[in-house]
Amino acid sequence: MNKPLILIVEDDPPIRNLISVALEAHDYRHISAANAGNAIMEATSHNPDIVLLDLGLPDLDGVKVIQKIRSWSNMPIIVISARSDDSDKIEALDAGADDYLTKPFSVDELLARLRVTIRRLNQSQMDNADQTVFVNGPLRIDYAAGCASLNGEELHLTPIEYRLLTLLARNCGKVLTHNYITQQVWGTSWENNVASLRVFMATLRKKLEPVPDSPAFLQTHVGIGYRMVRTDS
Amino acid sequence: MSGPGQRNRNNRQVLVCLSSSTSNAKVIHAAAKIADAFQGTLIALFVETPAYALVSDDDKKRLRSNMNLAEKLGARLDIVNGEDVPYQIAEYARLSDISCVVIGQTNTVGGLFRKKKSLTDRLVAYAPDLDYFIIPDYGTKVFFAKKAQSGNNRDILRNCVIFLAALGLCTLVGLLFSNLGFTDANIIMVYLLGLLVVSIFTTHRAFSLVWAVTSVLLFDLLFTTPRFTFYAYGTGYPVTFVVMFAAAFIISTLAIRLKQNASQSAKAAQRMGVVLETDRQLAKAKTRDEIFSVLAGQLSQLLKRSLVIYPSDGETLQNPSFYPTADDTVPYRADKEQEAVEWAFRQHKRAGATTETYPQTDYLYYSLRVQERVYGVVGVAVHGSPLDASEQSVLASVVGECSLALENAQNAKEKEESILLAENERLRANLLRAVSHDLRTPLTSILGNADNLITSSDTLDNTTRNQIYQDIYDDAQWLKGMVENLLSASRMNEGKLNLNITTELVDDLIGEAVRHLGKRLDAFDFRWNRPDQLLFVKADARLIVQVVLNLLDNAMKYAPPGSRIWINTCRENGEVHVSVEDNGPGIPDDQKPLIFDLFYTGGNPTGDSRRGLGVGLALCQSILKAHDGRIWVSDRDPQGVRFEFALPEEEVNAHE
Repeated sequence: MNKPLILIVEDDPPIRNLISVALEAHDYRHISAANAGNAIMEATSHNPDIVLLDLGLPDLDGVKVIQKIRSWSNMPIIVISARSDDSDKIEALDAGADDYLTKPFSVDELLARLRVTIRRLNQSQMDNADQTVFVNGPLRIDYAAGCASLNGEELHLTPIEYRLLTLLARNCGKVLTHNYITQQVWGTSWENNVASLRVFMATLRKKLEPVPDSPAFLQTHVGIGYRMVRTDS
Repeated sequence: MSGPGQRNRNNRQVLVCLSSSTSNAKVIHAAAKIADAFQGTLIALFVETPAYALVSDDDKKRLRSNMNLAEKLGARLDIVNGEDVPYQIAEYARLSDISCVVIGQTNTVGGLFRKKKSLTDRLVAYAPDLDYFIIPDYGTKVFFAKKAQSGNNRDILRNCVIFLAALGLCTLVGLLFSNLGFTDANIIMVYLLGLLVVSIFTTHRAFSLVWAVTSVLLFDLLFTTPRFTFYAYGTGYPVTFVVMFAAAFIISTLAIRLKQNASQSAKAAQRMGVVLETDRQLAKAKTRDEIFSVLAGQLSQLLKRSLVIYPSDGETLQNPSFYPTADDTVPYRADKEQEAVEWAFRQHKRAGATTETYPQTDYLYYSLRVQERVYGVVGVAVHGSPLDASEQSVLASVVGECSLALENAQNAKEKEESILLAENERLRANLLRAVSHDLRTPLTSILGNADNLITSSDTLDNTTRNQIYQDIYDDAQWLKGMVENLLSASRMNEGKLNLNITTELVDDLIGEAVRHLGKRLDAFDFRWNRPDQLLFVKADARLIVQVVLNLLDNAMKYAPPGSRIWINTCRENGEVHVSVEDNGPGIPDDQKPLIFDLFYTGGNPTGDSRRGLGVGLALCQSILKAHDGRIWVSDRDPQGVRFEFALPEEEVNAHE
C-alpha cells in the first residue's frame, strides 16, 4: 500500500493545522474539511483511506456524519472528542466509528492510532474475504474447527471466552463497546452482564497475554469497551 | 384520639356532632354552610359511648354514611370516647378552640339514671361560652335509645348454665340455712348474692330480671310458710318481693354499665397501646422501608386484616407490598383496586370500600401524607365487614404518625444530600478560585515562549530554542493535568447520585492510569505488583483512574527521576486496598495531616509554586468519600512515602 490518504474533519483551524503538520512530517497524504457538508463531499469524491472526524462540528452532529459514511463505505473512522464524558464516544463507536481520541491528545497518540488502523487495512487487504482462519502474530483462530491456539499450543477456552475472542478477532482493530459485546455474546446488556464481561475478559487475557503489564492483543478502554490489536510480529 | 392542634384564632372552627340519626345529614349540611359562611373549618365529631357497641347494623351504616358526608363536605373527622356525650363535646370544643357548635335538637330518651334535660341543654350548661346553632330534628331516634339484641346462641347457652347453676346453688344453701334454723333474711341475702353473680357473669340484663322473679317465687315457694305454695302469710313478704325486684333491676343496670365501661376502656387502652407502640417503633425506624414495615406490623396487629402498602416517591406510586392475614383467602385484584388507589393518592383522601369513592373495591385506602406531600397509600381489607368508628380513628392516628415519620426520614435524607452537595460545591468554588489565580502562570509562560519563537526565532540559538520548546511542552502538560482534575471535580459536583457507578476490575483502572502517563513513567523504575485474584469495585471508573493518576503524578513530582515507584493491590477485610509508594524523600510528619487540604503544596524545595497546586490530593479524598472509601498516607521503610486507598470490594458472579 502506498502513502495512505487521510481526511481531516475539524472546524478549529489550529487543531487542523496541527494535525496537518504532524501528518506531513510522517509522510501521510491528507485532505481536510471544516464542516460536515464538506466532509461528506470530500469522502465521496476522494475516497480516503482513513477519516479523522471531530465530533463537534458546526453544521451537523459527528455521529450523523458517521452514519452517512457508513451507509456506503467501511472506511476506518477515528473520532476526536473534546468532552471527557464517555457517552459521545460510545455513541460514535456504536454508530460505526473504529477508534477515538480525546482532546487534548499528543501527536504520539495520534500517530499510534493511525498505525494501528493502517496495519489493519493492510491485513484485511491480504486476507481473503471468506477466511476460515484468523492469524494475529502467535494467535491463531480456526473458525471452522472452533478452536484457538497460541504459539502452536491449543488454548483451553470456555464457550463464552471463545465467543468473546472470535468477536474481538473478527473486529480486530476496532474498539467494541461494552454494550455491543454483551449484546453479541449474551443477547442483553444488563449491568450484571457487563460485570461478567470483565471477569471473562480478565480470564481470557490471562490465557492469552504472556506479559500482563503490557497487553499485546487485548486493550481495555475503561468506561468504553475492549479492542483486539494487530501485533507487529 | 388525635389531639387538637394549634389553630389560628382568625379561622373560626365549626364543630358538628355526628350521630346515626337519619336527620343528622341535614345537620351536617347546615354546619357545612355555616362553616362556609364563616370561612372557617368544619370539624365533625363523633362521641363513642359504651352503648354504641350495642346499636344495630343499620345505625352503624347510617353513622358511616354521615361520616362520609361530613368528609365530603370538607370536614375533619374526629372521634372521642366517653359516656357523657355533652361533656365530651364541651371538652373537645374547649381543647380544640372551637367557637361554634352545630347540633340537632334531639328528643333524648332519658334512662332511669339520666337527667331528663336534653343533650343541648346539658351541653350549654357545660360550655356556656360557645355559639350554638340548633337545627330542628324532629321524630328521630338517638342511637343509644335502640339497643339491638346481642349475643349469639352459644352465649345464651353459657348464660343459661351460669344462671341455673347459681340458682341451684343458692337454693341448696337456702335449704341448708332453713334446716339450720337461720332467719329468712339470711336466705334473702344468699339470693341477692346470687343476683350479683348472675349480673356480673351473664351478658344480658334479662337474666338478672328473670333471677329477681324466679328467686322471689322460689323463696315464696320453699321458705315462707305455708311452704311449697305461692301463698305467703307474713304481711312483710310482698315488700320483700318488691325490694328484691328493685334491687335486681338496679344491680343489673350497674353491672352491665360496669362491664361496658370495662370493655370499652380495655379497648381504648389497647388502641392507645398500639399508638404508643407505633411511636416507639417509629422512633427506631430510620429508613422508609423500616417505617413501612412498622406501619404494616402495627396495623395488622390492631385490625387483624390484610393490608397492602403502595410506597411513593412523591410523583408516582411504586409496586405495592402485601401483608395478608393467614385466613384471608381473597386474592388482591390490583386492576379492580387501581382507580381507588390512584384517587386516594391524587386527592389525599380516603377511598375504596365503605366510602363514597369507588365503594365497589375490596379495600379501604388511606393516603400517607403530610400536607401536600404524599408518601404512599395504605389499603385495609374490608371484604364486606366495615371497620368500626374507633378502628377507623386509631387507623387514622397510626397512619398519621407514620406519615410524619416518613416526612422526617425524607427531610433527613434531603439534609444529608444537601450537605454532600454543599461540600462538593465548596470544593468546586475553591477550585475555581485556585484556577483563576494559578492557571495564569503556565499560560503566561506558554504565550510568552510562543511569542518569542514567532518574533525572534532566528536570533535564538539552538539550545535556547530547545529550552523554549521544552518549557511550552511542560507547561501544557501541567495544564492538561490540571484540566483533568477540574473535570473530575465538576463531575463530583453533580452529586453522588450522578456518579457513573459500574462494576470495575481494579487492574483495568490502574492500567488505564499507567497507560495515560505513558512515557513520563519511563524516567522512573516503575513496578506494578498485580494480585493473582480478580478484584472488583463498584466505582465511577474515570474518577478512580484520576485518583491513581494523581497519586502517581505526585510520586513523580516529589521523588527525583530514577526513583522507584510501586503500585500494590490487595484484598483486606472486604476491601480492596491500592497503594502507591516511592522511595523519594518522603513527607515530614508535621506535614502529613495537611497534605489532603486544598491548596496545600508542601515545602517544595524548588520553590516552584505551580509544581503542585494542592488540588490533587484534596480531590482524591473527595472522590473516595463519595465512593464510601478512604485514603491515608504513611511512611515507607526505610525511606519514601506510601499513599493507600481502600474501596469496598464487590463480589462478581460471572454467568455463562
